[in-house]
Amino acid sequence: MNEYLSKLTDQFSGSIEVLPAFRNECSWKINPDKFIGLVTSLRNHAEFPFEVLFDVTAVDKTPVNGTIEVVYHLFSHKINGFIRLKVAVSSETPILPTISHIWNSANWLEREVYDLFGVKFSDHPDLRRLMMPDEYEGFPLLKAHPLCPQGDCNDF
Amino acid sequence: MGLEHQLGDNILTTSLEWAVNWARSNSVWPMTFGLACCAIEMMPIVSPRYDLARFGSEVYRASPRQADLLIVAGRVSRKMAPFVKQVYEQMMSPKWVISMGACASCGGVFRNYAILQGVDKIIPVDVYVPGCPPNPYALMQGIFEIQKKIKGEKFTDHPYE
Repeated sequence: MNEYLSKLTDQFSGSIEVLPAFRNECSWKINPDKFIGLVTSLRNHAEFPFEVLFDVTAVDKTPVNGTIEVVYHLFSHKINGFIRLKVAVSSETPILPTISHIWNSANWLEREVYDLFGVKFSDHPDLRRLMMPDEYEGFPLLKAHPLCPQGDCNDF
Repeated sequence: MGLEHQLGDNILTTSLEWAVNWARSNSVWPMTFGLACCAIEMMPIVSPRYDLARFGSEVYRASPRQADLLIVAGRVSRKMAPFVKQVYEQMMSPKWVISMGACASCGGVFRNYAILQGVDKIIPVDVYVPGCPPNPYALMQGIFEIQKKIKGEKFTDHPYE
């Protein structure tokens, strides 16, 4: 593991669970309560500021443990390194605080996650569907969502 | 055209119909409208290698008001479907539609929640060109089929809308 990653891991060891690293990219699992505090301190970190939010996506793990795992990819120019944050929210009430006031790019990325997984981001400035039609019902990338909600895919 | 209205039912009608169909079939102007990878195969038909200008269809019109032919080149998502229909409705009569490739014809490999299973669910299609994507020659063959169809048409096939 890189030097910076060990430093960061030591610094935040109280609020994270370190997942196995893959090709020098580390993943942390975070409790939703500590999420905002952690990303804020990562963004404003004195030594390794993570200026770029690369991606926000999600994994529906409802059949495994009843959660939806929202995944954040952060990048720091200073160390040319990524960090991956995984936050699990319950499938029944998938609500997370928005981070669009910290990274502007989170605005549309969170809209996409809301569109496809139904995760609601509280205090988001404009939480509308991004890709599916506005009148679409359901969230198509959830495991429970049928492949063709219109039955035979043929009703339009 | 409008000629048929001024002439009425006189003896020239049959030959006029032939002349009008001849003119229409040799100036089928397609709409500039690509939806997916089929559009990449649609573009070279006007290039020197394929040269659709030999058959009078080289003028891609950027406005649906000036186009005769809508080539639906690619998969139509459910979000795009209202706009495809709007483009079709903006075109002047007479107008024809080619459904290019597997996706536009029946949804292709995309049998899912997002893709319309065939553009013929929203607009009438005259010619289906099979392939994934079709070779530009195949699309040209589709345009020839449109030309054949036009040559056999009656004025009454295209009521003024």
